[in-house]
Amino acid sequence: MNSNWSDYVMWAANAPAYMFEMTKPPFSIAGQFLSVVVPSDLVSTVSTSLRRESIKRVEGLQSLRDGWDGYGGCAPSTQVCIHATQLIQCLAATFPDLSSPDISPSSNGTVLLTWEADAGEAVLEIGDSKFSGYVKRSGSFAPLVGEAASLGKNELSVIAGCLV
Amino acid sequence: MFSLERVKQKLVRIGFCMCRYLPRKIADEEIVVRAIFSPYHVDTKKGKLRPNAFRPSPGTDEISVMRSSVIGPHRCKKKALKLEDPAATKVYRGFAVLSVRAVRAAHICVVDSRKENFLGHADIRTGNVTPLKGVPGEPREIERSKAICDLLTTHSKYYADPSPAQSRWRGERLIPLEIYAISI
Repeated sequence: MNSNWSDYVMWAANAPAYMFEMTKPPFSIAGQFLSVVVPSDLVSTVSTSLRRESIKRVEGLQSLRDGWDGYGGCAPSTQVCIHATQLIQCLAATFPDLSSPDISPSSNGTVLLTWEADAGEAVLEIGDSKFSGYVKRSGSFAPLVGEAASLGKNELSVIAGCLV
Repeated sequence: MFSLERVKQKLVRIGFCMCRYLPRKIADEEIVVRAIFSPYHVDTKKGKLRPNAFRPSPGTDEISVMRSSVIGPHRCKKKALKLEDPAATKVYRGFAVLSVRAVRAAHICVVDSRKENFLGHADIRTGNVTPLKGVPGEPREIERSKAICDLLTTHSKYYADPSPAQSRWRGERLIPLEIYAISI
């Protein structure tokens, strides 16, 4: 699984952004790569530096081991990191105006993405199979919940609508 | 009243040094410290704590701290170094210092927890239980958890260890933010 992850990270850093609108990673959990054909005319010109930097951060999370925080914290699973990477790719591709989130591991093995702006704040917590979070702006609170595999444009448009 | 409390604290410290006596009740005047590890607890470039430094352990609402006013900074550092694991990029960096009074003022409990740990160990109990592995919390829980982490980060003073490899604390005197702000 680890070699697949590093292959995936290398692929993700160089792949065109539209690839990440897919709801599934390019390989199954069993570790079988799917063949992906990339038409050259669809290569996007989205902010690759943002994408690479954020993917690097998620890659760093993948190397964590249980107990990483000194207080019994669980390491994020490969699945969690894949969901986070996909979201970052989707963010770079479709919402270039939305700032890069602060990406941090949580003690229970989830990944937290936090946006803080003058207009408000948004937090997404990505788990193995579910995600949860909220968008807050001047007293109003909008909860966000759902399946981690379907996390993407819809949630980001809610966040962008509030913070941009 | 304030000076009487200080005398009481001094007696408690002397009592601990002489016969390992340590009252279970944690006084408001005490300070507690949390060992800080890089890279996820602290932004080493800016020298600033990240809110992540105050996340409870999974399945609990407990944030581990040490009663530094009683056991002293050297013992705290010894315990912190035991948790360090450079092979797993978990490097000890210093302490986040909090005043018990400031934590309680935010309606968060600080309790002695020597039984499961060691003499001098305490827990900040947030009342917001972190979900189990791989499960995200409810939106309101996430909001509350973030608010608590931000609050504890704001109320704490970070002391980077100038000589982390040594077994004794050689840095500045550990004082909480509220007293530090008065002293400068």
